[in-house]
Amino acid sequence: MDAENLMQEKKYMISALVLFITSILWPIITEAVWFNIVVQIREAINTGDSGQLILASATSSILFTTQNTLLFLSVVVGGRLLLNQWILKENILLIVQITCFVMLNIIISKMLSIPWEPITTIVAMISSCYLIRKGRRQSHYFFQSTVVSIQVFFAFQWLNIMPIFSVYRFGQSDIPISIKIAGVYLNSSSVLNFIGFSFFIPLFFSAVITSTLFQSHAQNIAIVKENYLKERALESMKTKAMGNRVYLEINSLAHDLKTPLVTIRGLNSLLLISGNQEKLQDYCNKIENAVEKMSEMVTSFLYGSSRQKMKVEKLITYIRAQIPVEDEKLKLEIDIEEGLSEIYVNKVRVVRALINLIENAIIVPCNDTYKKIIIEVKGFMGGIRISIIDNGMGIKPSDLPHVWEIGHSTNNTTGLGLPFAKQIIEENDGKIEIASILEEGTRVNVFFPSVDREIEE
Amino acid sequence: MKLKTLTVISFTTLLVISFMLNTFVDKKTYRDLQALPSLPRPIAKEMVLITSAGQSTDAYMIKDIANKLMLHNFFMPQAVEPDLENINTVVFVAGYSDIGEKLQEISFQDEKKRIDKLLNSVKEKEIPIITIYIGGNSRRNRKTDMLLKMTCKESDYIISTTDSNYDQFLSNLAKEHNIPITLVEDIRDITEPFVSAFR
Repeated sequence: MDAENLMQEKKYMISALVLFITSILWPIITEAVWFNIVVQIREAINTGDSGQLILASATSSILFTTQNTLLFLSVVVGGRLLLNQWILKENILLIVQITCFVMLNIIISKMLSIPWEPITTIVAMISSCYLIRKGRRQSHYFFQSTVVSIQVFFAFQWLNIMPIFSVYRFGQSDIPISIKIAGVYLNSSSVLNFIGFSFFIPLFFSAVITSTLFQSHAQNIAIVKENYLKERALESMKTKAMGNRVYLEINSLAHDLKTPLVTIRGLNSLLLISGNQEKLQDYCNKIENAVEKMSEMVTSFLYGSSRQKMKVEKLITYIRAQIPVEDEKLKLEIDIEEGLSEIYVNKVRVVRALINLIENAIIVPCNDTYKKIIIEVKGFMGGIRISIIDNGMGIKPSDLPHVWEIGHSTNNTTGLGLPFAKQIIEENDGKIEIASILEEGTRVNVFFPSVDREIEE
Repeated sequence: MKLKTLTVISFTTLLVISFMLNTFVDKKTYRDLQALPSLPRPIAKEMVLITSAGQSTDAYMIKDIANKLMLHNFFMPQAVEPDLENINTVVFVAGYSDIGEKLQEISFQDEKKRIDKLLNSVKEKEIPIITIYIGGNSRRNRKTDMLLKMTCKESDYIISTTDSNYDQFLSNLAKEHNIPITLVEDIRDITEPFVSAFR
């Protein structure tokens, strides 16, 4: 058993003991109030005022309720202690608690000559146990038990002063008997019955409602916890999906690496047959360039933070080389403003991000006979804005806020393209936004700050 | 689910039947044919001392009835021998009250001693005694029965309610000591037999 559990058990033990001692001391502390009830009954008989009897009934109900609730709570806390020590079945624990409660009441009543109401107390105790049974292992169990048991015990104490329930052995101690006899003498039996019912029914109903609310609160908490765990699992799955996306991008890099390799191979075969020193020099330089290009590509991909100064035109040319433009139904327009400043990005990654955006524009269905994609590059607020505009079906306004979510797709794709692009662009200090009109087309704007601004920052 | 519903229905039915039986069935079984409706001739005179045997609040009701009947009375829940001066009748209202005795700061033994001494003195002075018990079966317990035995056997007249005599305890006492007894249905019906002892 760890230190925290030990501490908690110690706390339970002390609480149970304090509650038990208070319940024993309660009749002694309130002795004057008990005497006052007798005085009130005498007053009622002398004056013929049944109002005094109701007052006496209320006082006695409060006194009985307090003592019973304190004792009940001490048994409840003790029960929780037992539950922590041994794994007990609910029914067995209930029987143990009821037995303890009755035994303690009998012992206290015999030792201190304090009156007690066996029927009322046992019925109220069983009702309380039934109402709080579901929260036994919850953190707010003590609070729930207190609130519910106060209402139940107070409700049942009112049955003690009702002459109609005397036949069921309710109200057999001194004070309730005196109240009922005085009630009969003052012709107020029906008043006592009515008052008793008026308190019993709403109080018991309120106890049932309170317990139901506590139970529903506990259920809600359990649902929230379950949802949280599910969300965590989903998040983890999304992360894995993004990991897979990176794997796909590596595949595409491997494909890109083939181009300089083919160049090297071709040049190498030329080297074998060429005897011209000048040409040899030229081929060697070209091989050197191809190797450098490959190295640059591998570095860019391996190290995400690695960034280079580069012209946008170069970036677009690189992208242009990788877009399948053989399709007759696809018209690609590239509009680049002249004299644009350089940007500072990870070339391979940003290119992959932009290609993802362009591929999205290509695959989206359109109403026109051909797909038109415009890549527009312009200077914008001290940086560069690359816009990819298509004439596709567009995106529904309700779907727009979700396009950046992992797994969200309207075209039966993986739904990873846009989140991946967004992640790469933001890693390179860029921004991305999307605007779309249904049935007309979509525009994706990507903004990168100029290299001068990047250095300043 | 079916068993649960059946249990609830059975329990509710039993409760309703029990409630109806206890509420509406006439309690004829409590009646005693030997009991008188009231005394045929008076046995007591005025200057009545009303005292309690057990310190329950029931004595206050008898005091109230006596006042309403305009019987000249002294109400002394803890009356002792000197209080008997100029007294022509003593009424003991029996009924043990734990809190009543605590309030008077006496024990049950003290109360028994007081009643015993008072009864002896009353006997010596040949003052008529009336014992009244209106606590019903709820207040009947070992201590109340002891007090009833003490007072009833010395009494000249016993008045009680029918539910107090559910076990024939009072009528047997009356029979044993040849004392007239009146059993009334309701506490408020006590007026007639009570006044018959005086007028």
